[in-house]
Amino acid sequence: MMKKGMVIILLSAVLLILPGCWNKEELDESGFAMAIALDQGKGGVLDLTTQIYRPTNVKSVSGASAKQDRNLLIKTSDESLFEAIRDIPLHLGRKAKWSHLRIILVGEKLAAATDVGKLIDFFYRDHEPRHTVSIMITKGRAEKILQKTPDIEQTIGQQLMLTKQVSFKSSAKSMDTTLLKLALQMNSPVGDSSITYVYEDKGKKNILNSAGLALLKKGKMMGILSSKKVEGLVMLRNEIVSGVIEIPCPGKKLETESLEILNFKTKLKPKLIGNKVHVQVKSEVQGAIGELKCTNIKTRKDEAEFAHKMEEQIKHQMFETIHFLQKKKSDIIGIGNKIASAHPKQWNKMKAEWDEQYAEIPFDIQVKLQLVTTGTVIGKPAVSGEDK
Amino acid sequence: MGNDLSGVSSQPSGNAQSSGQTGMNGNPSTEQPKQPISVQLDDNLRQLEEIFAKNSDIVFRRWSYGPEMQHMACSIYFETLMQGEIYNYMKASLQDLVTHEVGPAEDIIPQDVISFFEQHGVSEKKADILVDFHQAVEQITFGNIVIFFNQWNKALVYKSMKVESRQITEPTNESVVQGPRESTVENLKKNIGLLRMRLSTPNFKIQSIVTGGETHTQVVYGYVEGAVDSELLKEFESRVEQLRQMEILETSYVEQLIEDSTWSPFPQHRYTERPDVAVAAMLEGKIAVLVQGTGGILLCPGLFTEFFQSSEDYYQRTVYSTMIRWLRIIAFILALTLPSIYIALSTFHTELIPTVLLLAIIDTREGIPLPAFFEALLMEFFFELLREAGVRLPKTIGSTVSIVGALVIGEAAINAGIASPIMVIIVALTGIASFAIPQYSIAVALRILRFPLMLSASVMGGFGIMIVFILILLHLCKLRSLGQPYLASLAPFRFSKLRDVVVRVPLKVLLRSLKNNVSKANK
Repeated sequence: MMKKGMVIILLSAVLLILPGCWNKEELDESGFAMAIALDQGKGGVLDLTTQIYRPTNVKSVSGASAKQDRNLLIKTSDESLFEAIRDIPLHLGRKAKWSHLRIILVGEKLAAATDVGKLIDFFYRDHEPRHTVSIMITKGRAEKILQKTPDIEQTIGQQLMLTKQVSFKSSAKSMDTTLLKLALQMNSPVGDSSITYVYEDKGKKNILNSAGLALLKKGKMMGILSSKKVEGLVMLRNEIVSGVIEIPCPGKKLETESLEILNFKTKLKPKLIGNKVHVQVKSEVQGAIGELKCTNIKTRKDEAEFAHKMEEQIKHQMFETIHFLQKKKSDIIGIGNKIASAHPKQWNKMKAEWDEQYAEIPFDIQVKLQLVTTGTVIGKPAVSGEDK
Repeated sequence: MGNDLSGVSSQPSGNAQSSGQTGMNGNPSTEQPKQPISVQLDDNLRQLEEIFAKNSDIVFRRWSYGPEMQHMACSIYFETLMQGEIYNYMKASLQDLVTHEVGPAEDIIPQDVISFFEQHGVSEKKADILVDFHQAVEQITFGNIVIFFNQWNKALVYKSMKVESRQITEPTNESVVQGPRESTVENLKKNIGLLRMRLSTPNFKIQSIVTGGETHTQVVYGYVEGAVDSELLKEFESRVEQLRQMEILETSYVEQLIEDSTWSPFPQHRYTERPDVAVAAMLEGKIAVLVQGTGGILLCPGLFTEFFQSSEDYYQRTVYSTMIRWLRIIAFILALTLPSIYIALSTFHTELIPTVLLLAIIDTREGIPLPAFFEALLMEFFFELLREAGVRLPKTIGSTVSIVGALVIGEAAINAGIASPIMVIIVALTGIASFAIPQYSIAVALRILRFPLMLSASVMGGFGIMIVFILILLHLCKLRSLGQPYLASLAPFRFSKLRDVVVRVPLKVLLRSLKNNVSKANK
């Protein structure tokens, strides 16, 4: 009995000491990084700006300065990303924790000079950051974006991330790029990828716009897709959740009619005829009328006409995007990937000159629009001052 | 009405032992050799005076009867044991003799008395005849009146104990919104009466044991013959045999003497103050134990799943009772693990907390001098201190303590920066959750087990919590209550028996099967 007791005591002592609690950190010993900005530094070093959450004490309630005090920016520079990160505790006094990182910002110049994937390899390997972290490329230096105060959210990192997500969901003006998506894109047979683009508003300096995409070829940034064209891209990729199609009224400058997209299904089929690629795009759209300015829908024929006009507009948008992308030789529509998965042997042959071939591909687009609702049952501008 | 309950007559039943007072029909509680009562009154009285020396409340009342008052008799009793009733039993018994056959009081001689009581024995007050001297002593200590007659080697005993006892009132610890509000009191006879009133069947058996030591407390156990498992009963009876040597003061003494595992924090018997709960349990096949002088009923065996049931469940609607059962299970888990989960998450697994919540927690924890584990330990200690203090406070300053506790310890600690608001919330939630469990004894188990969980969470994080959980589970699986596995319906898993654990099935289903249970066993 005594022996059993001694054995139990020994075992429990060993059990408590052995695991070592190696990653036990109190909450006030670690600094939680919310956002990180990478820039080109002088002489080829990497400029790292990390935004750490600064906790405000419950006791001191200062409303106005609270938001500003929340963001603590730590600037470090070093040759590699890991080294720069290890320099953070030198300034901060706490170890940085990456598990709640919201966003990675890369400056334009840096993205154009180096392979972005290789740049952020650290975030794929370390056990702390998640693969759902968003990545963005900024116009100008990335650290300037971090220096702004957020409008609503607690930290600018959170604000950016949410802006991006919401802008994708509601207006298709941007695409949400996470580390995971970036990895999938870059590792696909066609290595072209796109990352969300963010810039300051021209008018007000404190407002950030997250619209548009930066195009990457071989990991390096080489162009920007404007927000209007992103709509077309998202339509081609069959990823559109919601969006708006506009048609200007003939003659009148300020009047555009709009259609809200409720459902958009695209089937993109690349066909190999010999060695040539033709792409056939078939889209089925369900839309609701958003604004009516100059059309009068009284009969079924009028409705069909209106729908036809909208279809043409959709086709026009898609063609614009395609032409732009073909000019830039950036296959982010994913045609190369589809061919590689369907005809791998032929893809191997075409791989080398894919860029040139891509620029020449004829697209055949067919759109079918179904008007689901017109809002109110009035087929003309509901409230109008003009007499018609 | 009061004295009738104290004179429960022996029922003609097929049992070896009859219910009611013991020591009467050949069941001596002491092991002293039998000593016959002497024919001479003076011898008896001298011995009794020696035995009961230094007792200021014993009364030896001598009186004479017969022609020229030459025959002596003496009645001996403890006057503190018959408060409120100063009855002259001698007169009553003599009056019986007179009115019956014997003749006027002056003419009675001992022979008449002897023959009357030995042969007739019908009288207004129930009397028994004692043969053994030590039995007589025992009966005096039980609070009955013993009358010795000169020239008779037997004695009479009248059952007349009456001490003021508590009225039957509302139960203090188990009140319900809807349902009977009677609770058991200290008087054993009243308690048995409450039970028998509800189980009016001859299958409801009550057997009694007189325990040893100086107290000679009477312990009684009851069961319903068709419902209880015979193996269980045998096991129980073999354990209860050892009670005869022990000095039993309270029901929990019985519990601790017959339980399977003394060192386990989990209770193996249920304890209730309400006779309706005891009756329901007995119909399910449990054994109820009552002890003279204690107002509680012990139900054995007590299984884990039963500690989440309260009698109110059956008096309320089905859907509501099911929801409340789930609430109790969640409260159990919360009360056990909330502080340890907080410690593990905030120190080891910060990535599991949603970001916005984490930022709020960081705000509150900034500047706290203690690491999370010690902070939790400190607040838990304060809470336990408060609880213990609250139990023993007189009612007049009871509310002061709750104000002091809440304000001083909670608010002031937060303002001074010793504890964080999150910690106070967690400790308060844990305390409230442990009150939500109907049985007090298992809430005690939670209070004990919470601390090892916190310790292992602070050392090993989530892994530590898992280890201690597995240890607790292993212990529960091995634990037995009166031979039955403690986690009876959960492991081994019997889906049909689970129906009263997680959900409360409608009474139509429950009662039908109870009937089958009892009638099947009777065949």
